[in-house]
This record gives sequence, C-alpha cells and structure tokens, in this order.
Amino acid sequence: MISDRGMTRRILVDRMGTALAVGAVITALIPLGAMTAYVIAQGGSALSLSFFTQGPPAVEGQAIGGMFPMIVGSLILIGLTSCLGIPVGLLSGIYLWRYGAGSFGQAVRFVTDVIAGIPSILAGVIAFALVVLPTGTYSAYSAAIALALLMFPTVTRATETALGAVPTELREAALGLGATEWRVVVRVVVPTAASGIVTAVVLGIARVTGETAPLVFTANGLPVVSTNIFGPMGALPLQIWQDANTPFATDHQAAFAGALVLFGIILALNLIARILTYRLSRRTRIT
Amino acid sequence: MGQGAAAIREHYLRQLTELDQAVQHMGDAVLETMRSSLDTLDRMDVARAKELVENDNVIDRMRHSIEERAFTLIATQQPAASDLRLVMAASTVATELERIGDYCSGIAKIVLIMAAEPEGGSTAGIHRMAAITDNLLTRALEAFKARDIDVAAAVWMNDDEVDDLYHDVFQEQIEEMAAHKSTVRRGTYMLWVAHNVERMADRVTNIAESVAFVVTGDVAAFRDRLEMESVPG
Amino acid sequence: MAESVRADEVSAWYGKKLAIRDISVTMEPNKVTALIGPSGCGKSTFLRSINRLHEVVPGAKVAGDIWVGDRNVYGKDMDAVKVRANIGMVFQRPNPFPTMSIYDNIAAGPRLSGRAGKRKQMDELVEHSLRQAALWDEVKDRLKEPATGLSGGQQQRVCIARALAMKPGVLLLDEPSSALDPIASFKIEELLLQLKNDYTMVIVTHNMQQAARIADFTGFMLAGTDYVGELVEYGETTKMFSNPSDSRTEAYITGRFG
Repeated sequence: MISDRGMTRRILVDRMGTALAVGAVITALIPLGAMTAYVIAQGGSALSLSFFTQGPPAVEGQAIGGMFPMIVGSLILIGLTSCLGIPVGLLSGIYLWRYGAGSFGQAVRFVTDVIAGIPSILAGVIAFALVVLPTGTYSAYSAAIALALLMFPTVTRATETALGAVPTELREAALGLGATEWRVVVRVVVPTAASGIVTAVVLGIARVTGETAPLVFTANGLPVVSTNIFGPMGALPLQIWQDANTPFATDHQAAFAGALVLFGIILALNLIARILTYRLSRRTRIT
Repeated sequence: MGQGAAAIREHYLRQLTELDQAVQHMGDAVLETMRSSLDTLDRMDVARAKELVENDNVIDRMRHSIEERAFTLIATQQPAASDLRLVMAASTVATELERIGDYCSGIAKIVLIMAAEPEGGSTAGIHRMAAITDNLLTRALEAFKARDIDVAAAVWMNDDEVDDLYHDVFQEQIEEMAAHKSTVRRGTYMLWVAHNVERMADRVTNIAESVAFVVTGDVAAFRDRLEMESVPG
Repeated sequence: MAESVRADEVSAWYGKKLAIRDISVTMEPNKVTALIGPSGCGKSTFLRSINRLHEVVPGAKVAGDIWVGDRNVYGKDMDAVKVRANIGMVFQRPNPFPTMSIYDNIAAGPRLSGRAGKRKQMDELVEHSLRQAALWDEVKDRLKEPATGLSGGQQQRVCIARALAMKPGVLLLDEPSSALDPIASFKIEELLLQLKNDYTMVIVTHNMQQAARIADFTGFMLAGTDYVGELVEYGETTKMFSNPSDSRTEAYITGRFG
C-alpha cells in the first residue's frame, strides 16, 4: 500500500508537471500569436487589389505600390525549385528505402542530413560560387538550385520514411504476381505511400518559399516582371527584406503587406498538405 | 518430450490417462465378474448369482462413463494420432467389456434357473473353456495396459481353442441328452452357459484387435497374420 | 493447368544463417499439400523458395532445384519474375492493394506483369477470377470500390482471385486464414477444396485441424537443436494424423510439444 502522504505527493507532482507543460505551450504561443497579429495589423492596411497587380513605386518612399513582379517571381522560383528538388528528393528517397541498408546508403543518409542542416545562406553562397560566378549573372535558376539544395533532404527523408511504412506484404504481393522491382515501386509502393510523400513535398516547398538569404546571392532581381529564368528575378522575401531596410514608412508598410502575402501562401500550402494527406490516407487505409 | 509435454497440455494428458485407467479398471471389474459367475455355477450359489445379476448395471455405468469421457475428449481436445486411436479403442473395448459383463450376468441367471434342477452331468469341458477364456481376458487386459501387440496377437489366435472346446462340449451334451432323457433340461442350460463362454472369448478377441489398432493404427492389424496362417504348408 | 512441384535437396539461407536444409519432396498436381510444424521450422521459407520470393529478402539465397511441371525454377536461364508470374501466392494477412479498386486488384497481376489484354478480355478475366474465388455475387455491383472496404474474409478471397487471374499452375498459401474468424476461415477452406480441380495447392498452416481437413498430403517440418528446419515426415494426411511414422511428428500432432 502507498501511504496517503506518498499519494498526495504524487498527485502534487503530477499537477505541477501538467501546469509546467501548459505554461510552456502558452509561452511558445504568445510570440507566435503576437507576431501573426502584428503582421496582419501592419500588413492588412497596406493590402489592396493594386498590391497584387502593380510593381513597387518608381521612387522609393513615395507610395506603397505593389508586389506583382515579386509574386510572379516567387511562383516561378517555387516551380523551378520543385522541378529540381522533388525528383531528386523522391528518387534518392526511393533509393535509400530500397538499397539504403549498406554502408553507402548510410553515407548518403548522413550527407543528406548534413545538407538539411546547413544554414540557408550557405546554400546561396554555394549556388553563387558554382553558377553565378561562372555565368557572370544573377539568375532565377541559380536561385532554384540553392533552394532545391535546401528542399531535397526534407523530401528524401520523408519519402524514405513514407515508403518504409508501406507493409512488406504489399510489396511481396506485387512481386508474387510477377511484377519487376521497378513496377512494384512505381505502381504499388509509391501510390500506397502517396499521402506521406505528398505531405513531404508540400512541406518541402513551404520550407523554401520563405527563404531570403539564398536569393540575395542568386536571384537578386529588379522590381519588374521577368520570366527569363537565366536572368535575375524578383521574389517576395527578397523585396520584403529590401523594403524593410529603407528608412521610408511606406516601404515598411509594403514589407508587412508582402510578409502577409507570404504568410498566406505558406498557410495555404500547409492546408493543401493537410487536405491531401487526409484524402490520400483515407484511400490507402489498410484495414 | 516428457517434461515439455506435461507443461503444454497437462489437462489433456490427464484426461487421456484417466480414460486409459478407467478402461483398465473396468477390465479388472469384468474379469472379476467373469470369475465370480463361473464360480457361482460351480457352487450353485444362488445368493451370489442374484448379486451378480444386480451388479450388471455397475458395469453398464462404467461403459457409459468411458464413452462419455471419450466423446468429451474428441469434442473438446481434438486428439490425433495415437491419442485418437486410444480414445477410439477405449470406447470399443468398453463396449466389448460391457457385453462380456452381460454374458456373465446371463450365466448367473442360468444358475438361478438351474438351482431347481437335480445335479449331475459333466462340466469338465465348460470348465476348460472358462479357464482358457479367463486366461485370454487376463492377457488381453495386460496387452491393453502394456500396448503389447504380441500378447494381443496370441490372444487373438488362441480364440480357436475355445471354439474347438465349444464344439466338443456341444457334442458331449447332445450325446448325454440323447442317452439320458432326464438330463435334457440341465443339458440345455449347460449349452447356454457354454455358448455364453464362447461369446465371451469372441469378445476378448475384439479387445485384442483394439489393442492392435492402438499400437499399429491398422483397423485390421491381424489380417496379415491370418493370411500367413492360412497359407498351406 | 495444375502442375506438380518437386523439390530436390532445397536449402535456404538468410545471410549466413541456414534456415532449411536439404528438403526433397514431390507435391502432386491437383492435390492440396499442407506444410505444418512449429514456428521457426522454416515452412514459410520453403514455401517462399518455390516461387523465388525468398530471395527478395536482402542476403537471402537458395540452393537446390525446384521443378514446377517440367521447368526448373532455379534453372540457369530461369527468370525469377517469370517464375512468380506462373505461381500464385496468397499471404497470411489479406493484402489487397489499398490504392486500387476491387476490379483493379484482380487486374493488377496481368497489368503489373505486362500481360494485360483488351478491356473486354480483362472484364472477362476479372469476372472469371472472382467467380473462381466464390466472390463474384458479393462484389459484382461494387467492383469500382476500394478492396480495402471489404471484410477480412472477402479481402482474402480478393487476394486469391488476384492470384488466380494470372492463371498459375500452382497456388501457394502462407497461413491464408490465420487472420480470419472461423466462419471466414471455413469459407476459404471450402474454396480451396473447389479449386483443387484446377490447381496444385501448397498451404502452410499453424492450424493442424485445418491441414487435417483440407490437405491430401501433409509434410511435417521441424527445426532441430541447430535451428535449421528439415522435413521430418511427408505422407498422406490421413496417415499423418492417425498413425505418423516418426515419433516427432506424433509428438507434435498430439500437442506434446510445439
């Protein structure tokens, strides 16, 4: 039997633990909520239809203007990055899942983790050194390379995990029907793991959408609409950073409005990930 | 396997052992009854004969108990291989023993009827039949206990002796009845007794066959031996 | 057409560990052969050696020959993928492809192995296979629905139909009803007895009564003190369950160990 005193002490410790945990969560949520509220308050007032259709003011500090070229640039950059990062991430994820048991697989996994951990500015410097310097110009595709470098480790490891969660019996069932390894992967295993993989991809995209530092060394575009991926290109985070660094109140307002738009895009991407995960996992639930 | 066996299906093994012992116990009881019934005939012990007739239902109950155990085992434990053969054989042996008990009871009933008749006439043949049958049942029960197919085979072969003796006794009684009319009633009763003893011996051979089934799994294990016997020369 | 399966001194390894040793046995066409034995005796390994599924486990290998009909599965020019296409396999847990409809599950074999014909032929094949698996009447109105929405027993029959759609000569079943309730399990057993007319079946089962009920022949496997599985005894099921020759078989069948 536990004595009454011991019992009381246990209950006390339990309550204190719960209180500490709740306190920690609130502490974490306060700045997050404050930040969100601040961005909405500051950016919301500057947001108008023209913000999405026009470029920045011709003369700094004269008006809020818009960020149309940067929104277009950001979307192109995200698309380009996805074209590079997703296939590399997916294929290396499949490789690690299928053949990653050996020492080479372990090495690949280690390098992937290291890349996942590098500061984003370093990715920009690498792209700067490898592409911008030799070609002699800032370019959207060099930015995409830098961003893809940041994106693919997330996709790789999440793909490997998602594939690993597919029951072995499904793979064996397909093999047992006389399918080649590759067909089994493409037609059975990957579709079954689709919800996990799609989530990984969308979160990978969300992760690089807000990156600013790598763009400074790579895209570095002018505030005009450009669709040439071999030339400089504007991007939302870049413009926000630049606007925040001027002494003009209108620029600061524009920066907050841009931040709000970026915030919205990332929120939308996360929502899409949630919805796709739910839909796909419902389809692939194994009873 | 002994130790592990007890650990895995202890309850089941105990049920099997109990079934085995119940058959042996019934065998002993029937053997005792057989001796008593023939003893009663020798002494014309009416009181003992009445007791035997009444006790027949004890043997019937033993049979029912064994059949119930066997049935429960099959229904609940799914015995297989030698276990299944034992369960099947237990049921068969119990039936045969119960029939032997009935013949004993039949002899006791004849004793009750014959008590009114004058004594006399030869019973030597019947005594020899009874001695052999006693020996056959004793050995058949031993064979069951020890799962000894050789002893069972010997019992199965020796049944012929009883058949031959029965034939002799039959002749003997007929001749005596033909010579002395006064012995017809008694002679007829003695024929009944002889017939009962012959039937008992026959049932004993069935028990021997069951023993062979438990050991070999062959329902007609002695068939080959019979064929070997019947080969001329 | 049902084909015989003849194993000739088959051994199998997981990496350096020997799992089964020198198994030689002939399984008759149009018969159900059951493989029984305690866990770890290698019966599933042996079953998976027959269609070369064993070797998909990294480091796993097989020695010896297995003849299915007149072809050596481990012959020099034999391709494992082709071998598997001609031997059906059903697994312990019902494993229909969760991303596919009932129809697509049945059609998966021909499609995955590049044998898919015209739409109409496929429709016929799907219906025929589902009929063979005694499932057609239950699912004919919901072919487009996910197979994972069916009951466990129905899912397992989908898996059987999926295997049958490849028109194999041999059907391997690895504890096909161990995850099912007794009634669903009996339905599978009944189905297997019907399929005997067209296929050779080899079934691994932990359920000795199941082996006794449906198998014509039974093989008893056992791993000795070295943990290497061997075929202790093989024979007609009635003999194996009424009067086995080997004392180890007797002890296992009567539940003395295992």
